[in-house]
Amino acid sequence: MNRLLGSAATRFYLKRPWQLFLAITGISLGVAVYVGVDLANDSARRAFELSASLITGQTTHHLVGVGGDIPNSLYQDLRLKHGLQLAAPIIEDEIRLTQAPSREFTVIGIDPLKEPSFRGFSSFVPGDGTTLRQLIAEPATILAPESLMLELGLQVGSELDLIFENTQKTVQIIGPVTEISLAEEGATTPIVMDIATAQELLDRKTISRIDLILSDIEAEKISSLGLSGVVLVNANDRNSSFDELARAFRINLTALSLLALLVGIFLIYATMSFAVIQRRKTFGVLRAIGVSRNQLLMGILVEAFLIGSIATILGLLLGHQLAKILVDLVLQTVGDFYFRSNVAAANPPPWLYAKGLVLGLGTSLLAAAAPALDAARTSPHAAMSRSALERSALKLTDRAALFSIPIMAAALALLGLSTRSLFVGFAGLFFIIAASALLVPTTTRIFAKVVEPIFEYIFGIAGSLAARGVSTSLSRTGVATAALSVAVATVIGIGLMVNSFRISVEEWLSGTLTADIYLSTEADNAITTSQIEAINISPGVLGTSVTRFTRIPTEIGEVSLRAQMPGPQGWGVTVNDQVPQAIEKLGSNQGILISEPLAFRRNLTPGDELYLPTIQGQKPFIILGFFRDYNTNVGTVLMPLEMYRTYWQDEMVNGVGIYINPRADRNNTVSGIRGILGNNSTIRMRSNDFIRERSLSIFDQTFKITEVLRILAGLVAFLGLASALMSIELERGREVAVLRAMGIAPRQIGILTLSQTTLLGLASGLFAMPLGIIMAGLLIFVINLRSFGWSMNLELSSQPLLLGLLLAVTASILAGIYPAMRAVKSGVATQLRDE
Amino acid sequence: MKNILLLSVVILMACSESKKTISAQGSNATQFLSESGTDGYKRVITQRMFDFPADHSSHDNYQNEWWYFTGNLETTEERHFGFELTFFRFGLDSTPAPRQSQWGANQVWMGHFAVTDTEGEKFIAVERFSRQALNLAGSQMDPFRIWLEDWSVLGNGQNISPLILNASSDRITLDLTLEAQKPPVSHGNGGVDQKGPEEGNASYYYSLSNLNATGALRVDDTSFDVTGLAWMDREWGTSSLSPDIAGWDWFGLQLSDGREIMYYRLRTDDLQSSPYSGGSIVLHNGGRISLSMNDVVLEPLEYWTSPETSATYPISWKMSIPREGIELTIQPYLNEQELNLTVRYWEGAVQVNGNQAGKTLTGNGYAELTGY
Repeated sequence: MNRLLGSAATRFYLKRPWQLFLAITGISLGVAVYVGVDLANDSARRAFELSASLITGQTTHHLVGVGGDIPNSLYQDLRLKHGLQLAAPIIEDEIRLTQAPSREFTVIGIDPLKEPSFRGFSSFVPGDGTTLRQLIAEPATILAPESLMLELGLQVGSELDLIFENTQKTVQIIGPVTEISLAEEGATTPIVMDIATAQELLDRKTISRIDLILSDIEAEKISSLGLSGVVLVNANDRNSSFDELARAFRINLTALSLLALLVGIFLIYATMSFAVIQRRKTFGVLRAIGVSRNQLLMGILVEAFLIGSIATILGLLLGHQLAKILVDLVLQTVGDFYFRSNVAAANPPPWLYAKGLVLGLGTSLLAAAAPALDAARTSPHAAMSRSALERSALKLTDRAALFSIPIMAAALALLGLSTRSLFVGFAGLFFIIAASALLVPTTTRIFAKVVEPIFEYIFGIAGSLAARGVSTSLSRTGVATAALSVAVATVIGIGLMVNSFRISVEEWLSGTLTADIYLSTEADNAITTSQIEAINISPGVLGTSVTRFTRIPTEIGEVSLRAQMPGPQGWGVTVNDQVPQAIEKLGSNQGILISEPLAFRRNLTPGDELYLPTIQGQKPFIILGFFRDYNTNVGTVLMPLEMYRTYWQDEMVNGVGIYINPRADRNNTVSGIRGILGNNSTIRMRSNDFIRERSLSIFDQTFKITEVLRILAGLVAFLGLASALMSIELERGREVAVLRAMGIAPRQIGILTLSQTTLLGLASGLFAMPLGIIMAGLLIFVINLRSFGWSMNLELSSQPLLLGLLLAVTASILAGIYPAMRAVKSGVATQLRDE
Repeated sequence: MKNILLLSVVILMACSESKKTISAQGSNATQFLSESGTDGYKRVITQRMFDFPADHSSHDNYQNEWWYFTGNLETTEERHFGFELTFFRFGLDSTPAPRQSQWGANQVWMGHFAVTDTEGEKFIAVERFSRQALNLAGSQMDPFRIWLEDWSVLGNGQNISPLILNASSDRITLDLTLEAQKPPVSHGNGGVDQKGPEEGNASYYYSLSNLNATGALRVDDTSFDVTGLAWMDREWGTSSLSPDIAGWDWFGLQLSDGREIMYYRLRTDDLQSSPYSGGSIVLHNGGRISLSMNDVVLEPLEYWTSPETSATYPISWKMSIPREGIELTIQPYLNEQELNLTVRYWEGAVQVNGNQAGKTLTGNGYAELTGY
């Protein structure tokens, strides 16, 4: 009996090889999309983690400067006066190489004698005495990562040209930094040098930080020493701000990966269930000649398993290739903007492929099981009757629509109850989309009913038949249409989100960049008070805003501090509307403003106190309100410059905003300012427009990956769905023949087929529009808020919406063309006899 | 003598991968010596009239150098302790490049600090390294001072005696004042201690073999007032050891009759004594009787295997000096005095019993066993 079942299936596919091809294509693409995005996501995550641990190692705490670097003498005191043993001085910075000028590389200056307990720098410094002696004693000697030497064709003894702050310095490679197992797993090792060499090459007299390994008691002891100008930070905290940066970038990828999963499930389900449903009649016959229910069920499942396996394996291979492209893109973006060269591709763990396997095979089996159970359950007669199938399909779609309501309610309730959890946010997103998808067959039917008169008017009887055919073929088209809706909604949703985000960033930039020209410097005391005074009275200048930017370590991690003396047009901040008079209070030194991400992450509200490490120790500052900030994920504190100078005794200025009289000659004004500044190469002068454009281009670059992923996911879903719809339409040979026999012209049959798929596309495209908006809303108000603390407005731009509709309709038209052409050509008698 | 191998190996291996590898290689130390950059450093060839106090301080034109303190101490209740505190200097380059950075260094220092608590059956040993920069480590003449972060040896003006020793770590602290009872004694041939047949394979070597010690030490949470007798070894040179030397056994013994015996045996790979083994008997008045390989017979009596490193050391010995009629049994206060640090060796407090021509001899001392 099994042989009989087997040969029935074999014959079916032999007669219709394209059916088999399309089934395998659909499932493969579903698996590929999911696996590809998931692999890229995972790769990014692990690259971040490894980069962090490579630099930090066993360190439990860092001593970091309140206002930047730490003097050598502090390290000296720790050793000589406080007898601290597990302490390692570190200089960390970024440089470029003339041999690879487009990338930045991390250099790390260490004391090799202090390293063994720390990050296993033993492996950085080979156990070769000559190298160690050279590293410490000879100036301009470095250890270069093995991979870098390989890439640039360098050997031990080769010279390397480092570029730091526009100066070029030649160093000699005296050994490799052995990239132990870490490198295989995906982090790039820094260029390592002795701390003295680092100070000389990077032209500084200070150190970046001191890494410590401390017990809790020792940590308290260090804190109680009251060391001035530094703060003890838990390495985990510092790492976590590092992690958060990484996490932030990954959120978009995770959202995409989830959506890819959804699209994949629907795609596979549509393909496989169709492959079974279309043979319902054969199953009726088999049952009639004595095949038992269980045999039938098993037979179908075995078939689903075979097809599912082949398709899944192909899908995994395809996904692997897709991931390679995506991973490169992801790492490039990440490397460019977050961690420089500290990120390299990682080999994905096998379980990610296993997830794809489960998705492909599991969904295939599930998709086949439902119609198979149905076929096995019903009487042979009913199984052979198409009308019975469609009746039950109708019932099923209604039930699905009803079922979607509690799911959606539950998802909304979940989102309402847990307002901070990102996990719940994702769960809510997933369930709302899934529930919406369940509505698609019903809305499609309603839509078909509504447009039937219009179609009849345009296409005549073929149009009317097409519209009615939509409702009567839901068993075949329902899931595919839902899948198309979800895929299109994803494309729309992410597009809208990115657009909204971009508009918010533009507004924020306008609100922030109020001055015409900005001076900035990283050098100490490069801009003097007298220069600022001179600029203020320089012809054409209306006024200046003066800013000190610095990073300060706090108990809740490192934050950026922006101490400002506002210019003629205010503070240049967009304050959250909910807090009245925040700006006025800020102006009168009553407290500070904090950025939204900081507020959200630390759950701070106006009126709370934030403790900051001042020169006089930890001091509380009252939070007056929040301002929008997309600039940094770390979190920013804004305070009046006067307040900062009182508490930190730091007169340094590293940002000046210059307001120019619009009626003055800009060129003259600028050259006047240049004259005041003199020939100081450490001061950068940039125009408002330059910063704005540069910021937006960074934004676009960051989201390029999202965009690429979105298009890729859309494209693959599109191909998959077109193939699913095509296989559905191709199976309508008998229907077509009957119509032809009834005297409907081939051309009209063509129109019928094409207009029916177009109608499906239109229906799912239209449904995808509100669904896409909902998705964008969820991404903006739930996912982005919960992961970054960024607030932004949802902007309904038409381009993503129209693009989505176009995508859906094109997919469906493409799906209809070949079946329509076939229908036109095929002979009536052959088709009928065939049946 | 003793630590020339140790030192070079330590510096060379300071940053090597794991203790296991180092221990394994430690026994094969000579291969690393050949790598040490001795070019341009002065070598110990000619005899030297030691010039004190200047010679107490460092000699940077020689590649390596050390100050080695050991001693046996006890409380008024006669509770016994042993201590070891050592400072090693290692020069990196004989013609150092000028450096802008304050971190720029051409000398590296290593310190070992160990306390033996006989009654408490505890042996605690720690080590540290530092570059000679930013005042983190170094040596000076006036006042005489050697320091490695907060471990230090401080003299009395330019004079070395009385000396104040300070060292502290998590579990042990030592604060001692040492007063020399005898003038420095030069070993070898006019201060030149030859280690092998090659020219320059030698070091300058003198000792303060009898230092009265008073002060305090802490083991974990308990502090003890202690008195006792300490020993200082001083060596410097630019030396690489003969390749067939596997290790050495060194003894510094302080006898109850006011004499001291220093003897080291250089062991070859086939467990024979090298002819460059040797030592001194320091007399009451500070006079010296030179000992050569043929004067001393050493015989291991008992072995101990370290549970931590599985190395087996001969920890108890019979030492005979037939020419003087001296017969001594040397036994450790505690078996477990192995320093499992970057370089692994056994260095511990020992007690001495024996006789000279029928007259009973007792005493204390330190033994150093390497290359096992």
